Amino acid sequence: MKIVVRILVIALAAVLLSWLTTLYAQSSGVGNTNGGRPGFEARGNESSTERQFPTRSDAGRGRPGLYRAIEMFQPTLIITAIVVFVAPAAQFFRRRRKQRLSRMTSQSIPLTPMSHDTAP
Amino acid sequence: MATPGTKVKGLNPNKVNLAVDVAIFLVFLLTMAPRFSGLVIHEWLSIAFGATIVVHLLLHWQWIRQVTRRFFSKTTWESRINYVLNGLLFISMTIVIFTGNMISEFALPQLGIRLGQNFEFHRLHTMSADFIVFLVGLYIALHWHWVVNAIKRYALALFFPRSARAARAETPMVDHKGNA
Repeated sequence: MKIVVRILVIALAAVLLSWLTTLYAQSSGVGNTNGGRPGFEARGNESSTERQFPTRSDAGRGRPGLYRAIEMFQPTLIITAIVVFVAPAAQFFRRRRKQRLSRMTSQSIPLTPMSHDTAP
Repeated sequence: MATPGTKVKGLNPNKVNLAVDVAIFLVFLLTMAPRFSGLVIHEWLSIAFGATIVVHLLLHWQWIRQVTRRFFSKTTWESRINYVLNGLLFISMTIVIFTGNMISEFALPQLGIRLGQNFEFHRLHTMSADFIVFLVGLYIALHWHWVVNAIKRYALALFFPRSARAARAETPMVDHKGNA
């Protein structure tokens, strides 16, 4: 029962977001076949998606192989680059926070009685 | 990543999370390269991807609830950043899947649903997809420590049991939320 409620909550959030997206799309021009870009009008049987995403055989036609490979796996490369730069930075801040916390705890709790703490 | 949100009985939650997240990531990479996979696979995988997001959210439900309650009061900055990142990811994923369905060329027409082509949905689709790539990069970078530990402990254990035991002794399996 709990799971059903949770799924419904997620679905409701998704439906709400989709509705907002539709509203946004409507306000900025649903029905435009060119989206305000001259030269992009739909022609004959050619669909917008065909122009946006060429098929596998069309990808990077006439370009060098390396360029084609980079174009195909662009998201993977971008993610790798972000991970390479951000992961060490995140690790650094995490370690620094841990060090600060351990320093604070060691300062606030005296582990051994000091000479001036002990009664004469 | 390892919070017991919706527990899968008899299974280690860390193992389940690792398996689900690796599967989601691989599907995501394949979906994000339509020139490699082709448009038909791109569309069907994107629809399936929606279901995997729901599974991911259900597995982390407890964490979502906890941080939602404590967001403005008692929680770490790391959890807050994670929460915002997750929220942005959910919003962008929903937009990208929804707009993808609206401009679908193969999947929905195969089911008998035909929606007119629209460049505004197209623009939103590519824009949110580009944004998702950066968000996913950040998400993985912030969870990198957990990912490496989980792979060492569970995936490598299948091939190198000795090194996995050493990894287990070296670092306790604590996720970014501080759960062991």
